[in-house]
This record gives sequence, structure tokens and C-alpha cells, in this order.
Amino acid sequence: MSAIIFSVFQLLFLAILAPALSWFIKKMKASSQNRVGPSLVQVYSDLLKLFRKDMVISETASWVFHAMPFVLFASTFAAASMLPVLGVHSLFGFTGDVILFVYLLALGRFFLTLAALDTGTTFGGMGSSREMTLSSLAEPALLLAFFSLSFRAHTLSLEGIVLYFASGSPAQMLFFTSLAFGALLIVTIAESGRIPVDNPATHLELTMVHEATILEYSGRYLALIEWSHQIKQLVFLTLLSDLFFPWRISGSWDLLTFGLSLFLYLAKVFFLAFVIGWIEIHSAKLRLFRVPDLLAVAFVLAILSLLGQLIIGGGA
Amino acid sequence: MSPELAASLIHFLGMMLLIASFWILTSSQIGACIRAYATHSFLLALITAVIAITNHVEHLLIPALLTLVLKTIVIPHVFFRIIRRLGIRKEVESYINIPFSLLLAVLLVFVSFYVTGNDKILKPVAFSEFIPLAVSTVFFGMLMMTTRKKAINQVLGLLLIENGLFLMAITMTFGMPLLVEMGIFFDVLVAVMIMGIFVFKIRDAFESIDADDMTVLKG
Amino acid sequence: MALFFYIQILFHVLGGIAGFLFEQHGEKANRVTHGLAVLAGVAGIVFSLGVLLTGKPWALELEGSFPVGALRLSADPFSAFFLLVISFLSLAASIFAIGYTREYQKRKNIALLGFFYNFFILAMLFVVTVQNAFYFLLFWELMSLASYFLVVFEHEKPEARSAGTLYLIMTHVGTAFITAAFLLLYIHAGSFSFDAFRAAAGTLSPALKNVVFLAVLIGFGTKAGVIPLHIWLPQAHPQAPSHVSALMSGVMIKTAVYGLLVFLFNFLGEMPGWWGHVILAVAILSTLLGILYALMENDLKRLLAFSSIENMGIILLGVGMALVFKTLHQPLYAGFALIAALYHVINHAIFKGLLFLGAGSVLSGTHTRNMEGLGGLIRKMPWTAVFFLVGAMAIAALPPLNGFVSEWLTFIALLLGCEGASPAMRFFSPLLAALLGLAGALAATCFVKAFGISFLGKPRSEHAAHAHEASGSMKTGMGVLAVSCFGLALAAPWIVPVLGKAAKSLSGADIPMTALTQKAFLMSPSGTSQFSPLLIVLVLSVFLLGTVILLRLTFGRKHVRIGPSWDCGMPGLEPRMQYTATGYSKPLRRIFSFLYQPTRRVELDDESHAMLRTAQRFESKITHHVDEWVYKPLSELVADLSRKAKQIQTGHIQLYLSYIFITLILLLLFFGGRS
Repeated sequence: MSAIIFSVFQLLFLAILAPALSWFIKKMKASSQNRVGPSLVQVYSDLLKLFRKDMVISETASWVFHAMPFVLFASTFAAASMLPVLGVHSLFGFTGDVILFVYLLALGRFFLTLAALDTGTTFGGMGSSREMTLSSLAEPALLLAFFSLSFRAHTLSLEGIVLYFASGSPAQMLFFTSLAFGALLIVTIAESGRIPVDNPATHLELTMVHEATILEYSGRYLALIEWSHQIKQLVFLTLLSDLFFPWRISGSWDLLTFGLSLFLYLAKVFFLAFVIGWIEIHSAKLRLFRVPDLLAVAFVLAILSLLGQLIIGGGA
Repeated sequence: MSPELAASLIHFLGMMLLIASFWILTSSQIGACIRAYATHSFLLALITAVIAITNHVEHLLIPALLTLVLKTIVIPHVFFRIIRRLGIRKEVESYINIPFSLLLAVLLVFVSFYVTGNDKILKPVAFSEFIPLAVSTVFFGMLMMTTRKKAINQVLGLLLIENGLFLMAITMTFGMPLLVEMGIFFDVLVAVMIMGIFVFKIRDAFESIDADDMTVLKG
Repeated sequence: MALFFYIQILFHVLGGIAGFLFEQHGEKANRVTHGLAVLAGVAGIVFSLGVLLTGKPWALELEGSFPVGALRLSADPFSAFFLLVISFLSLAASIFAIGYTREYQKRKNIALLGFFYNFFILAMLFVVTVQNAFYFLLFWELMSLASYFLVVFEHEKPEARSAGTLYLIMTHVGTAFITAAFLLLYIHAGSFSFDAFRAAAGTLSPALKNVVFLAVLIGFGTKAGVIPLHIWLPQAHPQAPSHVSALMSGVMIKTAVYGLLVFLFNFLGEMPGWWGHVILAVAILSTLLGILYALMENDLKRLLAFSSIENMGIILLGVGMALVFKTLHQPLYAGFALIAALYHVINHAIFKGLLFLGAGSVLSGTHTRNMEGLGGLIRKMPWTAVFFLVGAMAIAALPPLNGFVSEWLTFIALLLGCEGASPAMRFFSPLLAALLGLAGALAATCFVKAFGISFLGKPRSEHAAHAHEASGSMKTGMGVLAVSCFGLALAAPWIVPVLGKAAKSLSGADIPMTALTQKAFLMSPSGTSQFSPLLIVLVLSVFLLGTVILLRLTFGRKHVRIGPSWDCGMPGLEPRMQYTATGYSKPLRRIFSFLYQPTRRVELDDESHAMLRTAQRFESKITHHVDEWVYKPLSELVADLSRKAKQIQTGHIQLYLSYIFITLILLLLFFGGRS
């Protein structure tokens, strides 16, 4: 019973923490540009304000437009619920494996891009087309990175892979995971719509990818979409920290170990957010048609990770 | 350093070496190619040094040092000088595009893994898992020599082949006798010098260093 | 039980003929012919389910004085599985047809349509039950001919005629190869009966086996539409009436899978390892190229036809892995891969049938298949939109629909290749799995485009603006399939054991079901993974409802103002400013330009004004390499040979008679020589 309560807690914790990570990257960018940037309270009150606001909805919109924010949120949340956050177990990790995880995210994206076409504007179509194009190239890289990890761990379940890498010595694991880490980092950047793939802060419709798909949304729908986007970003960061910095405390859940593992988790994801933010500050947005090259690099890294294990690890 | 950790470190460096080979092959700028080659050689020197220390074959430190000095510093420097002096275009010109080279390269890695799978040859070797890496480096060099247009890239390809052979020698037999190794190093250096001169001469004769132009020399 | 099968056959025969009684009265003919087909479908489902669930095979032998042997029909669970797929889809398609063919009543002979339709289904039923090579070929040919007449049903259209001709040629090339394969087996076994082939399987020489394998691969590959033998498929399938397209894409091409599996698992005995590899290579090529070409299509039905090629590829990935494991003597893994392939067979039949029926509704509601002229149909055709969306989600392999289940099984089957197979398989199988992921993601893009451009936004033409919803029977036909998309997903852990029976009756190897399913979970046989469609639906719906309810409770009712879409402050947003279907796939066209080699032409009218253009035309095309590289030279060669052969054709009847005379003499000399 306590295990279930703990799993529910870690899922809610992830959802609550998600906006803070976005704030952290925003703040980093702001300070690099000599701006003050928003306060931590601001991101939460923004979300809350959006939830309270009235909505303006296009007259062209159909029920797909109304259903999308809920489907997106539910599917992202379902994917998040498969992920071990603080411990080695997750709430619904037993229901499926990494393939399900990837396709749950695809379900949300399917509706996101459909809703973008629903309002009959140019920008929606543009965002939809670009989002689907880029994600269809990112998805195989993500899958292959997972497969190369499961090649070693002999399991496809997220929990199982995390457990496997948590149980080995970090130095030994480093070699097996370093290339997959590179691949997953690139996919993380692409999936969370950050520079150099997409600019989350752009105000020019023509350069938008993700933002263009949700241009017509307002009020509580927008809040839901923004929140699920932040959750998705944190899901990927958690994934990276789970797989590549697998040191965690598991065992009895007294206050001390709990606090320690909470601290470790926060340190890891904020460090990873720092990496993402650092890349964002130090690079320019790629042209749309250069992004596939970047994703190809991710794919090749994943292949090499696999090949490397065959060659050096003996594949055992 | 525990032997386990050392092995892990060497394997990690090996993978990085593979990445560096990919970097050489996929760079679209000659400058990046040369820098990638320097990185490649640097990693090679590191691997040599780590093997030397962990396996107590101290004489290997000399080739490690030589690799560091010659291949990571001197030869790239020479290359940059040639580029500057010739004032050639910075882009790598190739018969096949980058994504296709990437694809071929992945296949070559697999082939090199596949063809070196004979246990009988490899069992007695210390770092048998490095053989496919070395062979693939040689393959990459050949790919580079056959598909790139400029003479300067062909020289780089040759150097890549040499790096591959060096890696094989280090990991299979902890290096050749010192005298032989020294000879090889000076060979490489002299080769680079001679080719540099050749590149200059080609430029003088054809007013470009495109190796294609030499097709007019046939009877 | 067998009674139901006889009823099914009887009703199809009656349905085919009875229409002619009401030839003058289109609606009556329609009801009789398609109504009987519906009843036949129900009977077929009962029969095939009976055989599948009880596992008791059924057989019938009709002795005759033919030299080719007795006509033996039998349905073991494996055949029954295909019978079920055919019966089920023909049931839905026939219900749909009752409403759909009203379109044709004014200008076409419905009785004729019903005749070919019923006999087409009948031929497919016989193809998967017959146990004699001669009759197999007979029914195979009947199936091809009936479908040919359905393709050219609207023969007043030139594109239907040319598609029909191409189909006829390609299917006969394929049949020729299958015939050759059967004849080779006949020479070896001395009989046309399948049982004799099975008995002689162990004694085949390796060389003969390889030849038969290649002939079978080409022959059935042509019917299955695998690349590079696919060229007829995207042309012929869209030309037929939509309910027939559904059957052709949904089940007819699956009969090729049936034939291939029977050959590979029953007639050829032990096989060399490279067969599986060849099939995997063909499969991945079809999967990727199929979906990439589908992405570039703006014709709704052609898009669906290309996506059928992709799905045949996915099925063959399962078949290929089954062969690989079979040669490695891992019956459990082989059985699992086979189940994955069979599951995708039925799933693809259902959702592709649904999508073709949906495209048929769109066609009858708007009179166009071109997506550039559609848009906003979700308002005019709400039910069709819902059904099409279900089909699109299923084919894009999104959880919680059935497409995901079989794709998951195929993923696992591929990844099993990592477990102890050869080093090459250990590297290539995860790579193939990742490429399958790429195909899945591209399929999602393709069907976002297909659904989004056709059904969402604003109407792009008058046709779309005045669309009308499909009739009741059409909605019912689609609804049945849409519901089964959910059913096949949720019931997966209970369907897999049934498919296991079918796989067992094919390969003879026992598959322990406890390794594949446990309670509501599908399991990977190597224990690396598990997945429960039922639970994931539960999780998703809890989260979905939870979000809706929590939002409502916390923030109260939503307040909505309806306004125009964002027009950048410049009023006058028009439907033609929306993204077009061509525009939607433009980024992928550029990224994969090495494959498509797109050509574009922009024509400007009124060249005199540099600034004022009154009109301009834009044309963009992609290159289909197989057509360009293989079929064009081939057709030129054939045309060349024909021109040469023309020389012996003089027009003199005497000369022709002398040809016959000379041939007769030569034949007699050759065969009738006195010893």
C-alpha cells in the first residue's frame, strides 16, 4: 500500500515540479542576456491564471480541437506514470514497456497536430507539418537508443532497464551508455522543442514549430497544453537521469533516505536542465532542413551504441 | 586503477575513437576534418598511454608521446599551413553525400566486426575487441581516399589508415619493437611532407588540387 | 458446423446470380445481391470461429474423374483464420455496399457488380481452403479475374481501363511463377494434392527448394504487392468501387500471405537461413518505401493503397523472423513471430477496410478523392469522420487501438533476434525494429495529413462544402469495423492463444501459451517485456476523465467565446490559405529528396507584367524509381519484341493456317515418334 502511495506521490511531484524546470532554463537564458527573468512563483501563477481565464475558440474548430488538450495531457501523464522518478518503481510501469512509452507520447502528438489543422489557418498547418516531420525522424532514434540499452539490460521494461543500470558500477556502465546518452540528449532537445531544434520563445509565426500548433489555444486549454509540454520535458530529463545517472537510494522509506533521494533527483534533473539551457544559450536555432542532420546524428549514435556493445561488450 | 575500471576506460576511449572517425568522415569543412584527425590521434595517444600504464609495458609511452606530438600537433599544423598557403576552398568535395557516407560507414563498421569474428585468431590477443575498431578505421581511411575529390583529403585518408594500423599493433601485440615504430613515425612524417610538396606541384600544374584533373594524364 | 460453410457458399452463389432476376430494378438487385452476401458473411464467421475455437478441422472430398486428382476442401484452424478474416471483412463491406452502390444504380448494372463481387469473395474462400494445386490455381485465377472485372467496373474511365490492364498483366506474371512452383513440386511429388506435397517435403533437393522458393516469392509477392512488384497495386485498388477496394486491400492481398506461409512451412521442409533474410529485406523495403510513397499522395484511395504496401511489409517482417527462428530451431520464437504476422493480417484487414470504406463515404459524399479539394468534412459527415479517425489511429499504431498491438508484437518478434541468433541478426534485428519505428512514425504523419486535410479545417471546394453524410448502411458497415478496432486491441491476450492454434496447425510446432499471455498481459516469450492493452486503456481513460472532472471541479464551467481564427490582423482568411496536402508533406519531400527526386515546374501566365500575375500553375512530381528503372525498360523491351514478332503477322489467313499446321506436325514428331 505504501508503495502505491509513494508511486502516486512521485507522479504528482513530477507534475508539480515540471514548470520549475522550464523556469530554471528561462532564468538561465535571462541571466545570460543580462535580464532579470521571471521569478519561480511567476511560472506557477501564469499557469493558474491561464486555467482561470475565459477561452476564445475559432468558429472553424470541431470537437477534435476541444478533445486535444485532454488527450495530450492524459497520454503524457500516462507516459510519465510509467517512469520511475525517485525510487526504482513506477505507478504503471508494469502495464507496458519502452515501446508503449514512445507510442503514448506519439498519441498525444497525433492529436496535437490534428487540432492544429482544425482551425483552418496557415500557421496551424505549418506547425502541424513541421512537428510531425521532425518527430517522425526523432522517434526511430529514440527507439533505437532504448533498444541499445535493452540489448544490454535484457529487458524492455523501463523499470527493468533503470534497475539494471542502477545495479552496476557507474564506471562500467559509462561506456555502455555514453553513446545512447548522446542520442537521447538530442532527442530530448527535439522533443521538448528547444534550441537548436525549435525556439520556444519565438514570436514570429514563420519560425515556430511547436508554438505554431497551439497558436489558436487560450485559457484553460492552453494551460493544459503548456503544462503537459512541461511535463513531457521533465519526463525526458528524468529519463536521462534515470538511465545515465542511475545512482539512487532504494530500500526503506524513512525520512532520511527519502529526503536524500529527493535531493539526488533534484540535483540530477536540474543539472540536466542546466546542460539543456547551456546548449540553448550557446547555439543558434538550426534551419528547419538542417535539423534532420542533427537527428541523423542521434540515430547514428544509437546505432554505434548498439555496434559498440556487439564489438566490445561481446553483446553479453 | 583497478583492472576492471581500466578496461572500462579503454573501452570508453575506443568508442570515442570510433566517434572521432565518424567525425572525420562526416565533416563538410576541411578544417573540421583536420581537427577531427587531431582528436582521433589524441585519443589514440591516450589509449596507448593507458595500455602502457595498466599493463606495465612502459616502452609504449614513447610511441604515445610521439603520437601526441607528431599527429596531434605537428601534422595538423602542417595541414593548416598548406591550406593557408594554397588558399583552397574550405569545403570537402565528395562523390557521395554526407548521409550516404554515414550509412556506408555504419555498414563498414559492421563488416569489420563481422569479418574479424574468428575466435582462433583473436583468442590469444589482449584487446581482441579493438581489432574491429582498428579494421574499421582502416576502412574509413580507404573510403575517404576513394570518395573524396581533393588530394588533401586523400592524404588525410592515408593518415587515418595509418592510425588504424597503429591501433591494431598496440592492442594486439602491445606495439612493435621500438625501432620499427620510430621508423614508421618518421615515414609518416616524411610522407606528409612529400605529399604536401606533391599537392603544391599538382596545384602548380593544374591550378587546382582536384585529383580528378589528373585523369588528363592518361594516354 | 460445416453446414454454415455450405450456407455461405450457397448464399454467395445465389447472391451472385439472383441479382440478374431484378436486372431492370437497381435497388432490388442491390438488396438481394448484397443482402445475401451479408448473410453469407455471417454464416462464414460462425463456421470459421467454430473451427478456430474448437480446433476441430473440417474436410470435404469430391471425387471426380479428373486426372488432376480429387477436389479436396479442408479448413484447419490456419485456413479457418483466413476464412474468418475474409468473412468478417466481406460482411462489413457488403453492409456498406447496400448504401454505397445506390450511386451506381442510375448508370450501371448492379446485378453485374453483385455477380463479380460475390464470386470474388467465393473464389477467395476457396483459395484458402482448397487442398489441391490444380484447383488452387483455378480459384486463384478466378479471384484475379473477378477482381479485374471489379477494377474495370467503371470502364468508361480510361484510367480504370489502363489500371485494369496493368493489373491483369502483373497478376498473370505472378500466377505464372506460382504455377511454375507448383509444377516443380508436382514433378517431384507426382501428385497435385497438397498432402502429397507435404509428404514429399523432406526429400526435396536443396537446389530445387531454392528455385521453388524464389518462384513462390515472386509469384505471391506480386499479389501481395511487395516492392518492387507493387506497381499494379496503387493503380488498381483505387479504381474499384470502394467496398471492393476494401476487400482487395484488406483480404485479397492476404491470400498471398496464406500461399506463402503454406509453401514455406508445409511444402519446402528444412530451409536455408538466407530465405528468412531475403524476406526480411523485401519486407523492410516495402515497409519504408510504401509509407514514403503514401506520404506523397494526395488522392485518398491511392494513399491508402500505398499504405497497404507498407502493411504487407510489416506482416512479412513477422513472417521473415518466423523463418529465421525456424531455421535456428527455436519453435517458440518462430511461433511468436508467426502470431505477430497473423495478428497484423487481421488488424490490417479491419482498419484498412475501415479506411477504404471511409474513403468511399467521402467519395460518395463529395464526388472527389483529391484531398486538395476536401476539408471541413467533420461538420458535414460527423460519423464518417469519427470512423475514419479510428481507422487512422489504428493504422498509425497508436495505443490503445489494434494496430499498436500487432506492431508491438512485431517489434518484440524482431527484438527476439537479439537473443542468441547470429551476430548479423543481433545487429540487424534492433535496427529493423528501429526502422519499423520510423515507418510507424511516418504512418502517423501520413494519416494526420489524410484525416486533417480531408476532415478538418474549412472546405477547399464546392464539393466539400456541399458534402452529405453517408447513409445508414454505410455507417453500419464502418461502425462494425471501428468497434472491432477496439475489440481486437482490448481482447488481445485472449486472441493470441487462438492465433497460436492457427500457427500451430500451420507449423506443427507446439507453442506453450503461458509464455505468451498471462491474464490480461501479452508477454514476450523471452520474458523481456509485457504489455496489457486493457490496463493501458484503463489508465488512459482514468487520466482523461480525471483531468476533465478535476478541471471542472476546481475551476468551474468553462467560458467560451467563439471568434474567427487568427488572421494576423488582416481580415479575409480564406479556405485556400490553409495548408494544402502537397504543402503538408513538403518538408519530408525535401528531406527524402534523394529518394523522391522531385521535379517541379512553375508556369506563369501573362509574362508581360513582372509584378502582376493573373494566374500561375505549379506542378510537383516525384519519381517512382522502380517504375523508372525496372518497368519502363521492361515495357519498352516487350514493345520492341512485339514489333519484331509483328513480322510473322502478315494478315494472310493461309499463312496463319500454315503456322498451325507446322506446329501440329512438329508436336506430333516430338511426342509421337515410334520407338
